[in-house]
Amino acid sequence: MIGSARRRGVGPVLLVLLLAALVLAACGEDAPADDDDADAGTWTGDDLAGACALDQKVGEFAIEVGLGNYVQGAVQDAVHPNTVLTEVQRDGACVLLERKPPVCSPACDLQTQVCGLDDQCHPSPRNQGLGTVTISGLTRAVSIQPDAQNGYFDTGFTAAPFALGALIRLDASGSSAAAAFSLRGIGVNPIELGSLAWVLAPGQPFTVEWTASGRTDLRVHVRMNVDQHGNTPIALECDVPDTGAFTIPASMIDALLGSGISGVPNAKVERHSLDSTTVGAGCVELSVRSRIGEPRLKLSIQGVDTCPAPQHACPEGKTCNQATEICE
Amino acid sequence: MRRDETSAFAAVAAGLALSALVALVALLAFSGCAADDGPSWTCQLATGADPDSVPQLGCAADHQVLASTPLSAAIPGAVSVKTIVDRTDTTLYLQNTKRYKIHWDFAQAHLSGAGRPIVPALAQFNQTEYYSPDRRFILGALTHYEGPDVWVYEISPYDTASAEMITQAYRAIRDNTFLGDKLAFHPTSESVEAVAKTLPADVKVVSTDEIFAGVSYQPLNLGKSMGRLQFVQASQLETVFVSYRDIVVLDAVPNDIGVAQGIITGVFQTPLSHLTVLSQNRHTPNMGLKNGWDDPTLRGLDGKWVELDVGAFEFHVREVTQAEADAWWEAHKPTPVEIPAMDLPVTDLRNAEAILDDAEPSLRTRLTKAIPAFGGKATHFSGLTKMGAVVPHPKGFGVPLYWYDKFMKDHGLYAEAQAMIDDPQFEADPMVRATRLQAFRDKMETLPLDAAFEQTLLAKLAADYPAGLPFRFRSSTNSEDLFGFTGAGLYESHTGNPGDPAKPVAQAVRETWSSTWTLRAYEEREYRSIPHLGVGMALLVHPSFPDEEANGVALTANIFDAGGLEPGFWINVQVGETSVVMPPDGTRGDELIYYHQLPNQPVVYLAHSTLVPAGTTVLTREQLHELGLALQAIHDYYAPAYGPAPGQMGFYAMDVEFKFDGAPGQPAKLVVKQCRPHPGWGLLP
Repeated sequence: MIGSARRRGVGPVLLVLLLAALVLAACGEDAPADDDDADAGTWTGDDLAGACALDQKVGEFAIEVGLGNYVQGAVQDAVHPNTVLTEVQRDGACVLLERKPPVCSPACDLQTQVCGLDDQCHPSPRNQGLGTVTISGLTRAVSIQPDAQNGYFDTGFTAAPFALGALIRLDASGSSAAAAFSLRGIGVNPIELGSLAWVLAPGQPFTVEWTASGRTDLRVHVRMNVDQHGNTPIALECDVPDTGAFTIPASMIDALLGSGISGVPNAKVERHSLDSTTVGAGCVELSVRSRIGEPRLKLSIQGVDTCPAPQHACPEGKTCNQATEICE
Repeated sequence: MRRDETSAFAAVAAGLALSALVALVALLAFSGCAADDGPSWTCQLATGADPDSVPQLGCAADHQVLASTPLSAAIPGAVSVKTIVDRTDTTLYLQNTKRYKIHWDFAQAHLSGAGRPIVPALAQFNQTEYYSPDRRFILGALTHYEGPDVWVYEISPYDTASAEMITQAYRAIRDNTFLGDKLAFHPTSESVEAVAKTLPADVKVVSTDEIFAGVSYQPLNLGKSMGRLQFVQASQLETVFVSYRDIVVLDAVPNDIGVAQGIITGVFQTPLSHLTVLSQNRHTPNMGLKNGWDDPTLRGLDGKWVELDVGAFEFHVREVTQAEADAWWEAHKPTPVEIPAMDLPVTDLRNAEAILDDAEPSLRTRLTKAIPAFGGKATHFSGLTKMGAVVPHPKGFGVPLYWYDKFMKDHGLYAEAQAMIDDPQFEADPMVRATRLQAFRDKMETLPLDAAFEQTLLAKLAADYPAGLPFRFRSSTNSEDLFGFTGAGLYESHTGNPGDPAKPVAQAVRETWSSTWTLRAYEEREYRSIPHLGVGMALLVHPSFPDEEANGVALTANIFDAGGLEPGFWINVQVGETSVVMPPDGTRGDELIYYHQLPNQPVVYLAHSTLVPAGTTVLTREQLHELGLALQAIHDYYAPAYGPAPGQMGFYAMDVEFKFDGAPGQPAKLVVKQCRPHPGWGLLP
């Protein structure tokens, strides 16, 4: 499994944040965005705990700037086996991940159970109520109650919800199902890519270029898959410093393409700060990010002409296979 | 017909402006004209209308405006409109599926942000929206099966939606379309069937078997050809001459047929039956048409030149002139199959694991080097020995085709065969060919083997295997199991037992070798311009399985999903030793798609075995998983040789023969018997 968490000095900070959360909870939705008491302390991306290990991750909150300006997240009461990926190949900062489906016999009652990685049936992970979730450091105060599925969202931002370098803190007040917790983040600026039309070629490395933020404590994450309309068990992920350019080795491109190609290759790139903390038996992340993905970012394979829209013209001599959206 | 006005009003309140307006207009119209037994529906989309989605469908024409053929369809004749129920406000969306081919396309464009939750990236959407009890959407499709004229609500075979979710979506569609109680829920997999059993009484359920019962058309090998339409009873094929320019309509499915330009059977076929594989080899269209034997359109064309076009969802047949047919034949004559020359210096009886040379880095080169000496079957069997414990296989070895060649030379059989082939009568008359070839085989079966070879063979069997075992001597020519030409079913296997005087090993070898000269093998080679004397037969030898619990064939790809969007394994398996490729009359096995890569590994049963009790299956979940692991390993191992190159698209599958066998009282375990590259589902360019 991959994705070991970086954890440094979380204990005292948690205590401070817990107190802050209590203060915020008492303030309710009217809490000011720039509440000095609530924002006590300072941090950089290097102080954050990073990503959860995939076999520990039970949830995520995302605060995104860019085409979508929003806060959204949910936390489950257990790890869902579908999200646990296994490393099958690595080269430098890139890793090819595969989902290995477990098998349970007799079959689980899929209305209430899921087949776990231990090949045993377990209760399906459910979203947990986390109490009130408040977020400071944004351009306005955010206080969210869970929706009917115990999801949390605030999609009412009409502009960037934070500025570059903003110190952002998320506090969940807790509930009977989940203890209170806090997470921190750093405001990122919108990522701009050198190209929005990526073409992968067998045997060739692929360079991703973007405008660097100028901060050394932010990371850039690339994910791409080329198979099964995104439902593929194979994906390529790379995690690199925010320097403005990175080259994916040819070995990893070949490994990805060699795993199969069918319909709608897609990719996403995000600049983010990542924090994580333990909640119950699992790990929860806060991703403060800017992301570009489909449909704005187009990924294609050299020699494979796609025709994603009915009116899309295929090269001469080829016709569009509407099922696969490939010119054949 | 029922209708819940509350949900329609909810749609107006929460939905898209244009769609909501349509719904409101419809609602007002219905409230004004509804009779006691429910409202009458009228079409809601004006001519030329092309909305992104609608909240209601007033007639079949509305459905047609929005519908497309499903990306993957095991049941022919389906057209679908994808449906979304947003659980945040219970709104139903019937999306324009021509424009938005997958649910995510529509959801991210219309249902994301601006006060609603964000629709996540595609990969995350797929992780939650088909599997999570707390998902935001209920994703499905309103499908019309044209053959049986059945309207159904379906969810993906791997979707874990609860009975409550299915009920909510079903009722929303039932109450907001012209279908009303005509709508049924169709469980698309074994796991969805389990949920369907817990649905409330007002949710009508229709099974795959019931839908199939109303389907009349079964495309087996796609393509177009021209020929003369001829009706032939399957039982008469041994005496009625079928020309390679004929398109044959049969009343039943024969186990074998000579080369024809197309086949229409009056009953459905099994996709990996010999008949089907022969058509795939020949790249000739093949289809099943219930009652095709009595079809008045076909009957009206009996004896005439026609064009047959077998498509994935429909077929067309039309009369053409002989000139058109002749021109078509000139342009589409089969390309000659090039077989590798026999590699005669190789004389040793070689254990299977040593047939492929591991020192050679390229798998394709390894295969190319081994097939001329050990034939296609033994060579691909050697690959099975390289895949570890996940692919259990019998201990076997290869007899190189040198010994067949020597047998032919020692007894002057090549010269005799050449004289037979050169005889004008033999060339002109298929009945003469049948008689002369039978006599030739009879003679082969009486001639002695090379004494040293026979002694070496018996010594190896005695040294490497326990005494008393029967052995299977299986054909492995240099003209079978090749990439692009399988030669499936052309040659034979026979059993010999060193300890049983009634089944001498030498006789099994001779009988197998003589099958090089069966009529069907000869005719097939002739059609594909394969030189008869260039064909040599090696042998694959392994212990036989006299009492297997189940046997079957599989493809390492989902043959109903040519694009590879929903990869799965197609499996046809039958209990005991009853053949699935040449099934006895009235029997068929379990036929299923096994989505081995997907979470929860859904199983879609397309047909159920006629030889096991209703409600049971031939294989258990554990056995299916065991088989799935083996199929995946075989698929992956041979992909560098037969799969599309990295960065290329293309259908690729291995055709695998397997069985489950076990000692009495013990669980039956998988044994893989052979594999070979599958020629594909449709016409090659």
